[in-house]
Amino acid sequence: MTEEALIEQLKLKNTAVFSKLIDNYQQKVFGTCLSFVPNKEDAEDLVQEVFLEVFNSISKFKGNSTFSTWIYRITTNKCLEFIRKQKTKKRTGFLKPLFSQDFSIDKTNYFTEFNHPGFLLEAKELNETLFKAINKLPESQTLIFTLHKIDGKSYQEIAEITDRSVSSVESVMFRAKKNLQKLLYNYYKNEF
Amino acid sequence: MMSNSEIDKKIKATIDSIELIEEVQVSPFLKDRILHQLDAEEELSSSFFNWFSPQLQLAALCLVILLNVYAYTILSSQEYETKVEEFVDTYDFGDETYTSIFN
Repeated sequence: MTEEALIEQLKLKNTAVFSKLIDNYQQKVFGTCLSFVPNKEDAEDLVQEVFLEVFNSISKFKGNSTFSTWIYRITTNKCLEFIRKQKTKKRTGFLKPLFSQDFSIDKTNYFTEFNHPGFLLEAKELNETLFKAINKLPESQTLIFTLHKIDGKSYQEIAEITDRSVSSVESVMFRAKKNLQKLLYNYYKNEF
Repeated sequence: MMSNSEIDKKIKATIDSIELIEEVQVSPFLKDRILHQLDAEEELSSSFFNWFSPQLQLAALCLVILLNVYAYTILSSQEYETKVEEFVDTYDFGDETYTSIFN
């Protein structure tokens, strides 16, 4: 089935075609979600949200980009939205004990609980430190670094997803690497 | 405290640890979960609008238009009456009897 035919069928709310679309994209979308949110359950919830958004908003797809780019754009937006929401929850979390009976102390300073089945035991600590450092970068740098280094997308693909030029992606990537090194340097200097 | 060279090694190891992350396979039930959620959403939206049939929608629209026309006519007739009353008051055309202290 061609991409045009697939989109037409999705516009007609053909669930059989939608089911095929899930088969083709669920692994890739899940991989991207898990790159941003290193928690299997949260990532799967995000995949579900992405596909429902694709199904409900297919009429808004104008064909300015490829269909896969459009899906990845929805995916990255959903992931960033999730991270933003969780960070806000953490920031306002200190007010919770004042108004509720829950006095448990939240010991994590990360937006989600780490539950990434792909982290190997010997590298778990390093992986978690890296994700925490990435999380401290400005949003545009987090986005581009994650898509390139963790999700394995090329600069060209990232440029299409983020609607930037390739040179702009390269420059953001350069700044992200520099900032990440600075963050890690300060972390290891103060921690050990 | 760590020396600078040790810190550099640690930074390199941390960044290189990306290569050690293994690919995770998506849960086999995720697709069913998505399709089930889609069905649930469709049922919810269809049951909500089921009772509001096109005939009822047309009737509701007519009712709103009639109410607006009625409200407009009342408003304009009230305005007319107010203006007439104002005119009568201004030029003393009314048939009210006024009591005077001279009577």
